[in-house]
Amino acid sequence: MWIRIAISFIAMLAAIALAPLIGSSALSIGDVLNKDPVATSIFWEVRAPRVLLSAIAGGGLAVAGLLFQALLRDALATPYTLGISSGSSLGAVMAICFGWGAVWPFALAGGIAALFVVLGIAQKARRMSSFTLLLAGVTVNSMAMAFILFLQSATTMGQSLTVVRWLMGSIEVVDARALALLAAVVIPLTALLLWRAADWNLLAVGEDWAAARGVSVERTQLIGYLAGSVLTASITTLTGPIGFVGLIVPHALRLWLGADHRVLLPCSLFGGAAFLVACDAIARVMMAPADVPVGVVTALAGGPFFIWLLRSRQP
Amino acid sequence: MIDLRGVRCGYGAREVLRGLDCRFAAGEFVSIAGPNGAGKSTLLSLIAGLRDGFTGECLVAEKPLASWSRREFARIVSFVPQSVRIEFPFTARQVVLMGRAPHTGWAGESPDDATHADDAMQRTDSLEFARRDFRSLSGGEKQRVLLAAAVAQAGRILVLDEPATFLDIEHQRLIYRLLRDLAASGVLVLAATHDLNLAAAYSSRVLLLKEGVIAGDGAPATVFSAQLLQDVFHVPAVIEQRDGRTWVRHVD
Repeated sequence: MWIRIAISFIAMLAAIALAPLIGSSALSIGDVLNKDPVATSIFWEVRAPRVLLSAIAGGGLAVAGLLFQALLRDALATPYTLGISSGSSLGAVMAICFGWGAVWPFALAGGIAALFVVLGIAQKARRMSSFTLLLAGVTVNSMAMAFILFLQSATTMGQSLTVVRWLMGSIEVVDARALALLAAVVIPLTALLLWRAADWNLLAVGEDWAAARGVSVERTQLIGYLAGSVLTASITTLTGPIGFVGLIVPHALRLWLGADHRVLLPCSLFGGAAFLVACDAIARVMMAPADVPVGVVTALAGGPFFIWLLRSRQP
Repeated sequence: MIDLRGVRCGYGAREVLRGLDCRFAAGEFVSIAGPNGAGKSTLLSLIAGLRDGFTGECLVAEKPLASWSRREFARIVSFVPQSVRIEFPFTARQVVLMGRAPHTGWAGESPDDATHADDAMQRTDSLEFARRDFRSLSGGEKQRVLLAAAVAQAGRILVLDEPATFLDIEHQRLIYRLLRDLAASGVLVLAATHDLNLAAAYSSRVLLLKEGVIAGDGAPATVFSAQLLQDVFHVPAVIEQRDGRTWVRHVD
């Protein structure tokens, strides 16, 4: 167990250490250490923040995906299944189209609004059943997308391109304060989820199964859904909805490690970080000097994987 | 150990249990039989604390159901569902170890938990597929693993919903002997079943349900009668006492 967690941790460290050297202009570690002004500035002001944002976002998305898969007992669930990210996107698109200035506060507000709508719908049902939540999520998703398409069709060409870029999900350079805030959300929430890992195992089998083994099902589910949603909303706010990380990483790890969340959860955190850091490095060089949104890279890697998964899924 | 007083329970407007009064004591092995829809599963899930919205009183170990904390309750009552559908690649042993959850802290299973799990798998003859993916097991193998999880949970009350449905006759015998041994060691065993001969051969008491009320309650030798089986199951039957056992044979 500890060996596997250590392996994924080392994979993350390796990705974080190597990725800043990759990009449209090659950097050598020697130039950075010799305080070459151009190299130092690219390294610390451009590459390092991007790599750290990829690491935190990738780790958080993989953890959220893993959690939603367990809670919804659906191996195809993603961090976006409940519609949280659609809410963020709608907020962001409104901010872009109406020229409200900074996008992130509206993305955050949109994500939180979507969370309340979904929980509101689910609370109306007698229990917070995964089926109701799934349907509520699908509804919120499609309604938000309808609004987004409407806004996009009514806006100018330039803004429309910004909207598309946002919807693809991309890692932009952010300041240290935003990074620190995001880390302050992702790390404690992951620690909380890890502390309850045995409960996710039981809930992944079934609600009655968990209840008969001492889990306060409704309270634990609420904690899980809230934590997963806050993770998703805060990451999407900074990056847009980057696809497939929350699906592929937990899945690939489950094939390797089995289904025990006490191992899967830390490995998803580290593996998701390594994966998105690598994808963002590819996005930087794929069409250099142009910068491809990282969502394109994760989708290109994730699409075929998803199809394979659907085909090999147990009946 | 369990005391039901005027228990009524239903799904929406349809009432499934329509006023049950009975007591179950430690060391009893009670088979619960009755036609489809008679309320067997509802009664068992209610006793296992998995249903809210019933009226009347249900005392478990002298305490009303609602006053138990989930974790404390799970330490004394183990529930075996008829089947579970698992989406993820848990091994059979991991499923059994989940039975130890109410005894385990966040740091994970202790060697003692592992001993309980291995012992339970040994007793249900499921040790040979301990490392296999639960989803790849046959219906009967899954049922033995689920029972092992409940045995590992080591409660004083064991509630089982049709534990022998998918079992071959060798393992029906093994499992019913295990249940009888557990009852002999002081555990209260409550098992729903459709196999009246299995119930008659192994259990100390049979509770017959019909349309949500108790139609018969007592030792197998006294409770089964041709008249009662006609009333409850609408089947003409012959009851025989042979080899010190009660046999139920339905006739054409």
